[in-house]
Parts: sequence; structure tokens; C-alpha cells
Amino acid sequence: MDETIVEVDDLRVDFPVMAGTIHALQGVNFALRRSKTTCIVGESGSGKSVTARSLMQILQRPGRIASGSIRYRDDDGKITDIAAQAAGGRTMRAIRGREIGMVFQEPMTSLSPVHRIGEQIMEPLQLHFGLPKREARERVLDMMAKVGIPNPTQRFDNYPFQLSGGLRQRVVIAIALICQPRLLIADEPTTALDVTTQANILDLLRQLQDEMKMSVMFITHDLGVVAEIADDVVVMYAGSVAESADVDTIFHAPQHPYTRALLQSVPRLSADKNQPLATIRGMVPHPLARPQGCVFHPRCDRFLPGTCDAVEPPTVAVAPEHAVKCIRVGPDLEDIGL
Amino acid sequence: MKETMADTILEVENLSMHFPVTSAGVLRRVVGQVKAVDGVSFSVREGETLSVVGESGCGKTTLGRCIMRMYEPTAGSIRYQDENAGEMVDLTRLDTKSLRPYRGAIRMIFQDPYASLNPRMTVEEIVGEPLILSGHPRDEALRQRIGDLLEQVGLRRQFMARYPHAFSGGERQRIGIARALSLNPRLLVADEAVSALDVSVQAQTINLLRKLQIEYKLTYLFIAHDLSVVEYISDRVAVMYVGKLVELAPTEALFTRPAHPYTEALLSAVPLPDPRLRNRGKRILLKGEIADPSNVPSGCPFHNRCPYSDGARCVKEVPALRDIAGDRQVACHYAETLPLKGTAELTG
Repeated sequence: MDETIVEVDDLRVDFPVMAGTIHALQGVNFALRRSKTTCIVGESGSGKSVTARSLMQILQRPGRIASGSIRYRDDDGKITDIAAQAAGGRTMRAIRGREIGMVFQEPMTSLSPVHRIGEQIMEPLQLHFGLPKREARERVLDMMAKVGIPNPTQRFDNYPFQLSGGLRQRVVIAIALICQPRLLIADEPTTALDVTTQANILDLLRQLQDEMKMSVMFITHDLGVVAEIADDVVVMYAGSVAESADVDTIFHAPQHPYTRALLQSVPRLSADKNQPLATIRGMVPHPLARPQGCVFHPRCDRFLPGTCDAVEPPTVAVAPEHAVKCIRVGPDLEDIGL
Repeated sequence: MKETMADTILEVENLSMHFPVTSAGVLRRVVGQVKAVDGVSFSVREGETLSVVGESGCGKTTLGRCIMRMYEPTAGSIRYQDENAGEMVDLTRLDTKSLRPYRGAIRMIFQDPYASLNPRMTVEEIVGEPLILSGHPRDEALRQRIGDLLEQVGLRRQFMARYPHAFSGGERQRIGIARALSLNPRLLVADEAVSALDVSVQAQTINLLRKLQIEYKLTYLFIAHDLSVVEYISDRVAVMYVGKLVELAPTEALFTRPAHPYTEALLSAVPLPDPRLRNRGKRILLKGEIADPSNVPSGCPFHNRCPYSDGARCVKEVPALRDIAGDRQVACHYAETLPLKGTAELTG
């Protein structure tokens, strides 16, 4: 059995706003395994970024963790509940950047425009290890070479605006990895990049992960990227986990109607072009007006009146490590004759 | 080299759009040129979907904007087949006033459904604006027409009085499409029209665009970077690299047998939505970054990243876009001899 590094249990995050309270996460459960890549996939508004930010305790105002736990297990086996820590507290500051690194979507906005990139990569080293400048500089140059920034010595003194998008994203990755974190959270790190650059960055992440034996939590909406890099997949919809399983199960034996529909609506290379694309009717519900019962029921093709619109479905373990939040899976399906 | 076929609706020849780079300070001396689009020629056939693909900075958006005459091209011509006149009209030579009749025939759908709709106008005003500007009286018939347009794109006519903020991204894109359709266009330029949408909504929008194409015999110039979407909707695909057209071919041929090394690299970089294909086929990882359009490499613009470059002719001689067998064009010295792989080999 693989070692679990993070276990998220019944995580609920609220955003109290003028018009009411947005329940951004409504009881999210999943686990991250050591040295494995877990992809969190979902459409906009599904809560995937909020999940990532909760793990780092960097929720944007007015968001707050309402209940649930995020149990992080460190190298010595000591378990810390991140959800119970104060965002600015000593524990979180020791974990953030040191134990857990994060890569954001926009390399343009996550770098400081007025600091040299070398210094930005060096900052966490000085903060967490208090390394002397010369030694830190050596480590930074090594890391820059590792993430594929050409001529590290010259680039060290560049400012972000002097770099292309792909190189900037490599700088952000270098910052996240410089302290050799045990977990890397990457929030759509390749979405703003071109396909050929994306291929290079994905390749780089995979290679570094092998080298550093790091766990990766990768947030994306691109199912192609998921198929490419994931070991495990968590499919989110409107603030909860619809289905979670290993990547092969998600793509070849999905159980949740949403996962199935999502997979069918992706245009594939060499698909039959005379067929219209499968679509999911309607749209993602507004976070302040989520439907009763199963949040997916108004769009679901296996909707059962009186059941799906009345009670929130339980999360069923249809197999070990395969959880589905739908009332109509497993034995129940056969009873109905589907 | 180009054929003037009877069914050509738009013919772009040698189109260039160079933006001047000026020095800082008061003199603003021109110190260089960004060759966003550089000598591009192709034709669009009536009723087809021609996609233009390429990475950021390749000039695909600038190309679309030149065709819309949002930019004044530096050189070249854009000839439009006028239905009534029966002859080709060079749009680049027309002034604002004589361009007007053609503004209704060629319309644009924009990428960002949040930025392209005025938040202070109702849907009725947004969709009706082109009609009013073209002289339609503000009467009941106008409302009727706007309602019909909304229904065409799958929105309810009751939504007319609402403002854009009341709609989701997918619905806003539909409003943009309704606006583009209002003057019965023949050619729609769609610049990344589905890129900003979620997968499920993207599928709905693609299906809508196809339905409208059949109903109204529309021609699409579809500017995009997502190759799976492009493969699904296009009849022909044009690939651009640093301002130049490097390959133009019927979709199936391009995806199964690319003729340009850059096309091959693009195809191999697309992540396939199937984990079982992960290790099939060797992914081509391009070295370096896309070239700077203000400082284009000598010879073939792709030579410094191309795995097949011969280091001699490719560095010195700019390959011209030339016709090869199968209704396709390519700009590579070695197109016939390179063993390039298509998606069939990539998907195993």
C-alpha cells in the first residue's frame, strides 16, 4: 500500500458574500499518495482552485474553512491538520514553500515585476534555511539549470519581463521546487501556455518528480493533460467530488454520469466528424443557487425523479480506491435495469 | 500558383502586417519591424471551414483582424467575391464608406465573451445594433428579428431585456454569435471563439456553429489553437509560424500525413485524452522558444528548432509556400522526403 501524504476529509469552505453564503466546497474527500500525481479536474466553478488554496491556507477573502480536516503527514510521520492552523501562524509558515510548494496559473502575475528572477528563486531558501547568500546562489543556479532555463548565470539577473511565457513558468516552478518540497500543488500551470511549451513543461515536471520523489497535485480542466500525467484523478463538480479513482478507471470505466458525459464531450483526434459532439445539457449551476439533492441532477441523463432531486447522494466506494458520489451506481443500477 | 476557383469567397494574397517598433523618447524613431503577418496567401472557399492554427505570436489573430480591416495591412490584397457584382473586390483598397456594404457580409465572433459585450447595453441593443446602424427602422419588426436571432442560437426571446451579466460564458458567446448573424453574413471570422469555454459548453457551442453553417450556408475562418477542436470542425487547416503560412491542407490529410515538421511537432504535442496512449509514439519536444517576430531567423523561420534541419539550405534559403499533391501547400524544402508522423501513428 502506498503511503498517504495528505488526507482531505469532509472539507467545507464558505465564502460569505453580500448575497448570501457561497458553499464553495461541500464536503470534499480525497487522499494524495506519496510520489504520485493526483489530478483534480473540473469545469469553472467546481471548486478545484479553492481546494488547492485550502491546502496552502491561502484562501482569498472572505473565504474560510468551515469544517473538515486536511491531515498532512510529514517525513517523521507526524500528522498536522492544516485546516485547523491559523493562516499566518508559525506552523503554516513552516509548511508553506518548504513542505508544500505551489505553482500558479499565471506566470505573469505570480512573479514580482521589480525583482530579479534569481533573487525571487533564492527568497524561499533564505527564509526557510537561512543559507548564506553565496551558497544560496549556487543552489539557485543549479535549480535554474534543472528546470531548463538556458544560461543560468546570465539569466539570474534578468527581470520577468525579459523572459517568454514558457521561461517565466519555469521560474515559477523553480521557486516552488527550490526547497525540495514533498508535495507540489500546481494550479493550471500550463493552461496559459502553447501546446509545444506545455509538452515541455509537463515533461519537466514528470522528470523532476521522479528525481525528487515528490507528490504532485495537479489542477486542470484539460482531460488530455490528465490522461498524460495522472496516477489518480479526482473529478469535481459544483463544490464536491463526483468521482475519484486511478486514471485508467476514470477514462475507461467511469461510473459517475458527469465523468462519462465530460469524457464524451471532448473532441478527440480522429473521431467521427459527422456525429455532433455529445453535450451536457444546461450549465454549471450558480454557486448561490445550487439544486437540491444531487447537484448534477438537472443535467444528468440518469436522473431519477423523487430520489436524485430530494436527497444528497452518499459517496459509494464501488471498489477499493474508487469512490462515486451517485445514488445510481453499483448494485442499485442493476436493480433498475440500466 | 493560386487557383481562382469559381467558389472562392475570399482570396488573401501576399498579405503583410508589419508593426513598427519605435524608440523611447520624443523622437519615436522606427528602429525595427514586428512582422506579425508576413506575405501570407491563401483562399477561402464558399461554405467551408478553414481553420488557422499556430502558437501565440504566430500572427493568426492579426491575420483575422486584417481581414476585418481592423488593421490597415502593410502590403498585399484581400479580395472578396461580391455576390451581386460577381467580381472580386479588393477590401484593402476601399475607404471606410465604400467598405460599409461588406461589413455586413464578413462578421467576427470574438474570443472573450466577457469583454466583447458592452455591460451597459441590453441583449436587445447588442444584437440589434448592427441592424440599426445598417438602417433598419426601430420598429416591431426589429424586435421580431432580434427575437428570431436569439432563438436561432438557442436563447429565449424573453432574454432580450436582460444585461450581459445575467448570462453565463456559454450564453454570452451565443449572444455574440447572434450579433454576428444579424446582418446575414456570408463569412464569419471566429477568433478563438470556443477557447474560453468549459468543455461541456464548448461542445454545445461547436454543435451550434455547425448547425448554423448548414442552415445559412456560412463560411468560417476559424482561428484557434486547440487542435482537437480544429480537427473536428474544419474542412481545411492552415498552420502559421512566426507570421508565415507553413502548411495548408485538407484536415484529414494534414492530421494523417503532415508535410511540415512544425505541423508534426504541433500534432505530437497535443495531449491525448486516453491514459493508455501515454507511452505510445515518441513525443517531439521542440527545443527553444517560438521565434521573435521582430527578429525572425534567416532562411526557414523554423530551422533553429527543426529536428530535420540540414544546417545549410534551411539556414540560408527561405522556403516558399508551394503546391504539392493532394490540394495542399507547404513551405519546406524537404516536404516530399521527410518521414513525418501523423495522429494515426501517435494514437497507435
